[in-house]
Amino acid sequence: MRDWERYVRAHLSLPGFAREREARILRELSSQLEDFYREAVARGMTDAEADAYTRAQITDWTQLAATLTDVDRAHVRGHLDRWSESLDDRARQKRGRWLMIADIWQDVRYASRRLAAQPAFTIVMVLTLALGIGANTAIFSIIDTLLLQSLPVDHPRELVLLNPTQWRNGWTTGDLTWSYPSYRGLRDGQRVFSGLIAERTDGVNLTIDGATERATASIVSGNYFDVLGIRPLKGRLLSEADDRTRSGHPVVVLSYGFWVQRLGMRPEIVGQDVRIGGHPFTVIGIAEKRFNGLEVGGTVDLFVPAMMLPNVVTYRGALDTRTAYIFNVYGRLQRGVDRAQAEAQLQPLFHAELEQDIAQGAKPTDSRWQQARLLLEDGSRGTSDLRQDLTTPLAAVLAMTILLLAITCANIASLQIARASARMKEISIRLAIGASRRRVVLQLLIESALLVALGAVAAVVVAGITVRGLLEETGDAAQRLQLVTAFLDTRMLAFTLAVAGATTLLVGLVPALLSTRPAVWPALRAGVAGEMGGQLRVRRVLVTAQLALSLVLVTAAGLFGRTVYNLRHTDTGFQTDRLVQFRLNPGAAGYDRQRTEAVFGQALNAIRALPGVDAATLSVAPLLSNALIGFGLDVEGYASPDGSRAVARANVVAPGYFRMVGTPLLRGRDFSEADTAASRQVAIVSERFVERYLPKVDPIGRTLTLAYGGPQRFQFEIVGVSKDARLDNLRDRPRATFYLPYTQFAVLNSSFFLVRGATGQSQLRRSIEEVVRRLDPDLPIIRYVALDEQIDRLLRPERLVASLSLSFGLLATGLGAIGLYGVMAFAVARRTREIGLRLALGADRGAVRWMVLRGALGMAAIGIGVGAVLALALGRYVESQLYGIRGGDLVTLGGAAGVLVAAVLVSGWLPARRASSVDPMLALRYE
Amino acid sequence: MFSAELKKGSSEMLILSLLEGRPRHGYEIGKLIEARSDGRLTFALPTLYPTLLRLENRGWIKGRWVEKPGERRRCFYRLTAEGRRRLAEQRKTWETFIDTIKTVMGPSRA
Repeated sequence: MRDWERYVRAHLSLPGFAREREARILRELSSQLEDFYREAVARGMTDAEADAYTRAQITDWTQLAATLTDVDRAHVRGHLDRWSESLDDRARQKRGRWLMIADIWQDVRYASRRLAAQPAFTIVMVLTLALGIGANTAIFSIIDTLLLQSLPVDHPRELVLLNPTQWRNGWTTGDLTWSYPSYRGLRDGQRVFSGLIAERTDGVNLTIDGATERATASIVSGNYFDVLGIRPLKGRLLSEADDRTRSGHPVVVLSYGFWVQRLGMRPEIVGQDVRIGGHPFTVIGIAEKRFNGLEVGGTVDLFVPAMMLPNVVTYRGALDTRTAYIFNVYGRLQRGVDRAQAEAQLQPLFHAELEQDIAQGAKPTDSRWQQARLLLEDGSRGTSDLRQDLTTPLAAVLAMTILLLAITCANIASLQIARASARMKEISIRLAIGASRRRVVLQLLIESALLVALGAVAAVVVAGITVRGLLEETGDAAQRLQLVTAFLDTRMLAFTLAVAGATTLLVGLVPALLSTRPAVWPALRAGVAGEMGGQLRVRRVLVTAQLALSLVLVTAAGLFGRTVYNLRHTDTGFQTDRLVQFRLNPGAAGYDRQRTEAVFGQALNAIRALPGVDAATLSVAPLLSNALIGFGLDVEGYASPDGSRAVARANVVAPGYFRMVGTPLLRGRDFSEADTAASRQVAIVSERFVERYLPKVDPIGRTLTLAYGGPQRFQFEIVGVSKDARLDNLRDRPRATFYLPYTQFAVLNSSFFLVRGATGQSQLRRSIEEVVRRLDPDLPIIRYVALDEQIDRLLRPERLVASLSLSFGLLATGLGAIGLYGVMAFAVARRTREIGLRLALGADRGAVRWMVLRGALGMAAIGIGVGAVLALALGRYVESQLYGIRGGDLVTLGGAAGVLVAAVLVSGWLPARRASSVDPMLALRYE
Repeated sequence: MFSAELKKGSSEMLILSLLEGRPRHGYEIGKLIEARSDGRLTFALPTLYPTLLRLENRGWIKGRWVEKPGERRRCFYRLTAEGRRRLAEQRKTWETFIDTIKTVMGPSRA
């Protein structure tokens, strides 16, 4: 006795039906089969005979399913017909549309039942799509924030950034380009802007309720908020009246982010007194939520009027010094003035400013300043260091994610074709009983669309995780970017939707059209395995394309991986192990030059005396932070052909620095305790400096002359030559560098300390904190970091690209291998008869295996050929990002090809083995 | 014995007429057609059942699961009022059609 209901359930699948309806049909059919069975037994058949007799009642389950589906569909249509007939005339005209919607709804149900029936397939596909689409969405939302979106200010398109081309002489920080006197000159002389603002950003010591911490201050001209069109969230913002008298406006505005993150939205903060750099200030308001300064990805905690600059940072006299280029200047163009007109009108004003700079002490390195022009750059997107650092890596990553998505599409399209061929019979029956091709194509497309939609939903989750991860990887600078990035905003969702739409067409349309081709139908009557050559051909092309794109990704992984390796193993010219650096900024705490030097001396002695500390020294510029100071200087014995001055980078250090960091002195002597402000001023220059400026003479005893921005000139005698070291970063060749002793550096106000210790990191840090607290509890330790960690941080973009391309490459290769396996297995199944015949006629099994493998390798060869061309092109594009390896490196390309061939052999081996183990007798009976 | 087209055209009407007297279950309908036609007409399950479903969808017949004493639960189909009207219509059309065919094909009156 048999459970006929189970039997029917196992054979008949009715995915488009409502559950209770399907259940009823199954019950009725099994009930009737039961009748057949009982009758057969009653007629005296044995159990087995009765069983066979009953089974013979329904042989073609696919056909039955198709018929029932058709009956059911007509039923739904009939309902709708009657319903729409009952509506008025106007509604009747809409009937066509209603029918279509009903059809689509049925298709969606049918498709979801089909997907639910194959959970493994569905889960794998959805995950693949989630990765493919999610990676794209993540990269897009970062690129959008960094590169595409405008600042949240009024009419951002009217904003321009004023940038002079060429020549600067004096001390600058980053990309800041204007002195305060020049800003005033431009502001008062121009007629093209409705407003001109100056701003700079500084780290300051902020004391609230007695606790001192580091904060980032935007120091801005009084008209800043008015010109940008920013409104207060609480209290009021700065105005021109807050920026008139030198040191006369101790008021501060807080940013929304700071108010939320550090103050927990305390409302009573407005009107309260705080201290900045030890000076009392009053909080007058909080800026509106969307605004976080003009640097995208930067963090601004507070806004201070420019007139208060000398109070919060130590650039004393900086507001009056023409060579102190310490501000960014933005203008808002007047309505009706375009950028080119404004630029033309500003040139005379700009040159008048330059001439005043020179008249008041600036000494140009050469005569190129006369050709200098003022450029108006698009200011609508603000400035961003992150933007410069990440543009090329992000573009490379975006290219890779697009490749990954293309591979994903190819893979799914190929699988969909395979699935469609398994449904050939069903499709051909539906076409035969009168379904239009459009309907069937639509139905297959809807199934793909459903798959992609599920993938897209999962992709949003993947994107969220990826964005978070990427931002963490890109380091400190990106911290507040998380706040800025309006994750899940409409732009991102629109992007995801667009990608999902394109993906649906890519993965759905080709298989749908292919499997409903009119030429296929008659052939189908003969049997399924017959005429599927066309589909196999398309799948072969797709797999080959997948292999080509995989090669590109694996090659990229190789190139970036070797770049990271090369950078990590670059000889920096100094020892980074167990070395930590941190900054003390007594200047910001109100110390003068003399007290600063004194506290540095005390701190050095106390740290050196700590147990477990091998050595300690000072380095005004932090190592590996692109922070050496650029100077134009006169070198005794050097005269350039065009009369320009020498240019070199400088660091200011304590005696014992060279021994301590491990950069050998090649000639002369180190600085010593005897080099003081009172003694002869001395300098040590690098090998490269000698090569560049004093190649044929003895450098020892020569004089360097330079200025620190003011009119005063300082002279230093060269007493030693050091080996070159990569102090700024790992990538750039060491440039001409000179060193000065901190005791003789006239503008000393802060410095980094370098400490090499044998004790554990946290123990060392606690001891150092204790030492500094004993010296002055108001001196915070800033940017404490181990040098090895700093190197890791520097390498983050490279490592990020390398690890992303590696994981994308492996994923792509895996997908390619699976696709290849599918195609080969299908091809072998189709050729079972032929293979059987060959074997029956005495073909060698090894030869059969080779025949199949050769097919796989053929696809791999074409894929690798095409991929190599693409990989070489990509390599050239990213060459500037590489280090110690060329974009067209053939060893890397060869290695990547090797990985791919290995994957192809593995995935081709199984079908090949199956082919060679075909039983000739069975194969000939096949079909 | 008869072509599929011929059978298809008549199956709905045959089923309706078999249900005219009393409700019957699916297996019984199949067997009755076979018996009454002396085996010349058979409707296999894959043809018969979809037809029942179609008739039911149209509201011409109505299936109901009933348990009769001493028997298994089965789905019994009965004719609805609509089905009765349709059967009368079809029967009339059919008779007219047969008459017409007979007239045309009848013995030559030459």
